[in-house]
Amino acid sequence: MVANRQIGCNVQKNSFLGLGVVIIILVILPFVLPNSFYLDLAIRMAINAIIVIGLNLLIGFAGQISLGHAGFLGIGAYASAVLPTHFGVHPLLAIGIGATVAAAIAGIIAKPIFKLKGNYLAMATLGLGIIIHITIRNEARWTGGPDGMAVPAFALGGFELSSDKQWYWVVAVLLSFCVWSSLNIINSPFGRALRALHGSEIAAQVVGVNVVRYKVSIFVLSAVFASIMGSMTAHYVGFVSPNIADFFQSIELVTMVVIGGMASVFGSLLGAVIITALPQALAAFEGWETIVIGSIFMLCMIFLPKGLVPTLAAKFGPGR
Amino acid sequence: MPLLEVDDISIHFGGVVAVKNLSFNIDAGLIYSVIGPNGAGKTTLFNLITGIYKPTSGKIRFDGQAIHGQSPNKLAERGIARTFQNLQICFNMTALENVMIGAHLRLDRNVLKAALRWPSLRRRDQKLRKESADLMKFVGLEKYLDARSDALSYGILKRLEIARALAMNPKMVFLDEPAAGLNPQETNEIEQLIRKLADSGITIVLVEHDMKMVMNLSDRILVLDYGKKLTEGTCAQVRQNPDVIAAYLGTHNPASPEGQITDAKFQLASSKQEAVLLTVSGLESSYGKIKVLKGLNFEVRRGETIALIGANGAGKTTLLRTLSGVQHSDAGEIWFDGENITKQHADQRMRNGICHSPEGRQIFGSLSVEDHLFLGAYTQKKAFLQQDIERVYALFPILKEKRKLLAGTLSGGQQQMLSIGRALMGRPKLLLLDEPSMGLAPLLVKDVFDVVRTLKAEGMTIILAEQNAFATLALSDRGYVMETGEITLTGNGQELIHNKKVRSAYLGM
Amino acid sequence: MVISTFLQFLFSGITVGATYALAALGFTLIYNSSNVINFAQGEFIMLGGMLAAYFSQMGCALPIAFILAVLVPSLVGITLEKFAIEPAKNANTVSLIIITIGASLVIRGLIQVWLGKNMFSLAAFSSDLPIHILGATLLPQSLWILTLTAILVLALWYFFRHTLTGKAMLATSMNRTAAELIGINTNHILLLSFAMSAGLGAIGGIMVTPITMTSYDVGIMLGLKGFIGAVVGGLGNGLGAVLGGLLVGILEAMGAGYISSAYKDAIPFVLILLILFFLPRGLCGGKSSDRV
Repeated sequence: MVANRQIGCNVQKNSFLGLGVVIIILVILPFVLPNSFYLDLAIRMAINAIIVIGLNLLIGFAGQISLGHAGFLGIGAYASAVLPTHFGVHPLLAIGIGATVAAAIAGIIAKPIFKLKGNYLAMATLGLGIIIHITIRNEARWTGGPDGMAVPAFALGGFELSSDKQWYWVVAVLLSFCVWSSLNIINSPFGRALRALHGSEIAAQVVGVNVVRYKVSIFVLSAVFASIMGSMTAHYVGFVSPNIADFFQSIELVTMVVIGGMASVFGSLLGAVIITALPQALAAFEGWETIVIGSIFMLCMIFLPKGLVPTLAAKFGPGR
Repeated sequence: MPLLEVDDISIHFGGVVAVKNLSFNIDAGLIYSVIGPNGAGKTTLFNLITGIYKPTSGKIRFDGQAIHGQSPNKLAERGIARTFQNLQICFNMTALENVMIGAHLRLDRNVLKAALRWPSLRRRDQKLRKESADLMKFVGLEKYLDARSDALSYGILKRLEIARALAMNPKMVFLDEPAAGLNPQETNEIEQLIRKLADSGITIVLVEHDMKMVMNLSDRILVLDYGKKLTEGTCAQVRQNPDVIAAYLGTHNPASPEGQITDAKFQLASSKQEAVLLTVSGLESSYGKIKVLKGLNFEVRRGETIALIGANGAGKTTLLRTLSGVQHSDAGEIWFDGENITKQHADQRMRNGICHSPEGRQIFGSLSVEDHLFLGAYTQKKAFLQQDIERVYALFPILKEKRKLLAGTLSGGQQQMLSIGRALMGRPKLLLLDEPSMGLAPLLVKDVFDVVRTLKAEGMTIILAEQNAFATLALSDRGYVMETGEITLTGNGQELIHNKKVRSAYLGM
Repeated sequence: MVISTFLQFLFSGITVGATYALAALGFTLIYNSSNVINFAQGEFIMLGGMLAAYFSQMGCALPIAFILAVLVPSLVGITLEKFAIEPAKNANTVSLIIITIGASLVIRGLIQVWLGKNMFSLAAFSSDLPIHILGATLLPQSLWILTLTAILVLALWYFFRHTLTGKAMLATSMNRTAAELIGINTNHILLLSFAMSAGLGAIGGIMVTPITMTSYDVGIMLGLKGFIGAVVGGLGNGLGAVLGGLLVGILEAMGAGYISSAYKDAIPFVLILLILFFLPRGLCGGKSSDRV
């Protein structure tokens, strides 16, 4: 009796310990960071972390692939740019509309797309992302084309979210909630069904999991995460360009998932932190930036194929 | 009213009719077995009933409701559960979670509640953990409650699948070859487990090759051949039906102890002191962190047939793979024909004359039979090609007949012949045969062992790893018994057959 | 008038389609032997054109420049397989995709640093004078491209159908362990497949540079479209790859001409979505990407 309780509990205890650590770090950080440059970096990391956690539910836990996720980022970002600017829509509503559009596109395309597997699925999601990117870039009348456009600040009933500090706390709360709810989902019937999907689709089917419906829901869920965070990014930076939705951005997101560790919520956090910091760290390298990033992608995947967090956990964690 | 009614169903794949106008009923509470030679359509039938295939024509009714063509998850809702011959385990989840997933339909699957850690959801989950642990105990897996599924052996995982099926609270459970790949002791345990399941009121449908188990358990038996019903009835009726005997059991039953002791008389040659061909000392090998071979020492002389027997997971396959070079050895030495080949790659060892017919056939589905044989001679000179192929065709006439066909279209038994033929094309000095009779119907098993005898008579040196201990020991000169990575017993064939320990553990006597 | 416009688009479509076809063949080769989708394939195309232009600018005779421009990418391909793919043998699909994308970044970055961001060009193989057919113009270079592509395709077909090495390559792709058991050195086979694939891509790049020019960043789109061609035709099917590549090129040109040139690049991707939804195994029935 004690035995079977323990395995569930051990895993759970470790996870919520991790959440505690994350919250403590989030609370202390703004007091420890030397200047606003680092605060800005932290905010970007947190935003990316939320996107990546959502993407990881799809890739790591449910075992699917998405190489076009930046497209959903773009939808949210441009919804928050275009709708308030050209149509006078309230920013909060614009976020909602963006998320709805992202959910709709994901929902419509998910059913046919998830009949595909492996490389075919990868290609289809890639195609989706690129089509969204090209559309954004071409419809210059609304989107400002390749040069991008400005985004009005996020304002709610007279209160405007403008200072870095305010943004930090908003994002920190969102991130904490995101980690907490993801951990909850993973150990729930819904979460187990997702993981079973990854483990063996046939087994999942014979126990009653409606495989198609689950794939669609997790795809839509992660698309909505991405869209909302795309909107947040747009408001925070105050500016959007089509690059937010391009192929390279999609690859960066997937790399964050994989480097940190698929099927690991904390892995997603770590992956987001590392990859977001990278361009800053490499600023000194100029033309060599591409070479270094590419090398890092390769080296990480070759030597740490499970990603950082699971590899470290295996080495230092309880006898798993 | 019968629980399951199968009404005139047929299915074809392309031009091949896999199941033809099949009709039968299953009453609730029975143990119902489906038997038949390989390729008879048993697994196809299972897949039809459990929703993985859709019949081309005909109807299937469960509990009075039509179910043909519905997807597996819908059938789960109706109370149909199944296990898989080739295992469908979620290795990314723990053993316990694999069982918990069986209760999927009985739980609240709402995402929002899950995300917010709804108390009622949490309580239900804790209860499920306990229920699943109880199920694991019911199937005899109490030792593995904390285990990760990827650390468990094949036999354990088969029982885990049964526990998962039970978690569905099913009305009917389909067991697909539950005893495949298990040794006699494990088979016995599964047989008792199935009896326990039936006693608790679940209707059981069984596909099996192990005749002893089928006859012990079944209330009724359906015999299939070429996708059609050959006959149906009680054990006694089926056992005595002349058509069944001819098509399937053969006139000589390798499964009966009498049959095997007769085979034992077939002891060919051998304690001539021939030169040593292969010497293995201190051989160790691991899969990741798990040490599978723990320091093996043995030798093989020219012309000998060596039996390698042991339970699933004992390391027989790993040993053969280490010998042929596809598995890395951590320590120890292998000397072959006077040369230290320990550091040699697989292709080099093959050139030296070690040819391996691997477990599970491992053929190239989209290449033709002929191409397989050409490739088998990849390392050999072109001059010998024609005569070698003719020799293989003489040994396996069916391969000559089907030489232009794609290997993927052959039946299991024919593929096994092809695999051996392919290995022979490499002009082996040492032939490694890994579980050649696995998954084959009794008549074909006899054919395979006949081939081994022929090769032996021609002077081939053979190492034969097999679950079918009796038949193997009967035709071998010497045998090695492996248990969890070590050699625990050795002796000549006859000695081992009569050894008490071997008999109880591996021959089911 | 209508015919000449149509033919014009058709010619330019087939021309660029041939490059896509060679890229698609390269993808198919590597996929068939190792189950890896090599996102760096496009960079081999880029390398072919860039190196040919560079060597000929440095004063090499054209034939020498071409040979070098095929050899060097082949060596790069071998290096890629040996140092990036082989160590990651058992990685899952996503990881392998990222590795090859990383490799493409490295290759592109190196060329960027070495040769800069300028455009390069090559002289046409024979003459520059366009041929006029039914009111449309066809460059002689296009004929070169089509002929050479056809020859390469036939050579590959022969290789896989009638040579033992070709069959060994197929066997390796189907079941690596079994291939090793019959004495095939699968490491060598993989190296060969990468070298061949890189060479094919490089040839395609060289051939098309006189028409489209080249620069350090043409690889990504070329590679992606080549991959689309491979999937459209049925991943794993050589003939399908060629047809798929040509089809992508033609539809792209038609779309750019008749519909909108701003959305030109989107057309192959819309195409691939349609094909994957309605013909999931491509036009010629490729392999299922699930290896059991």
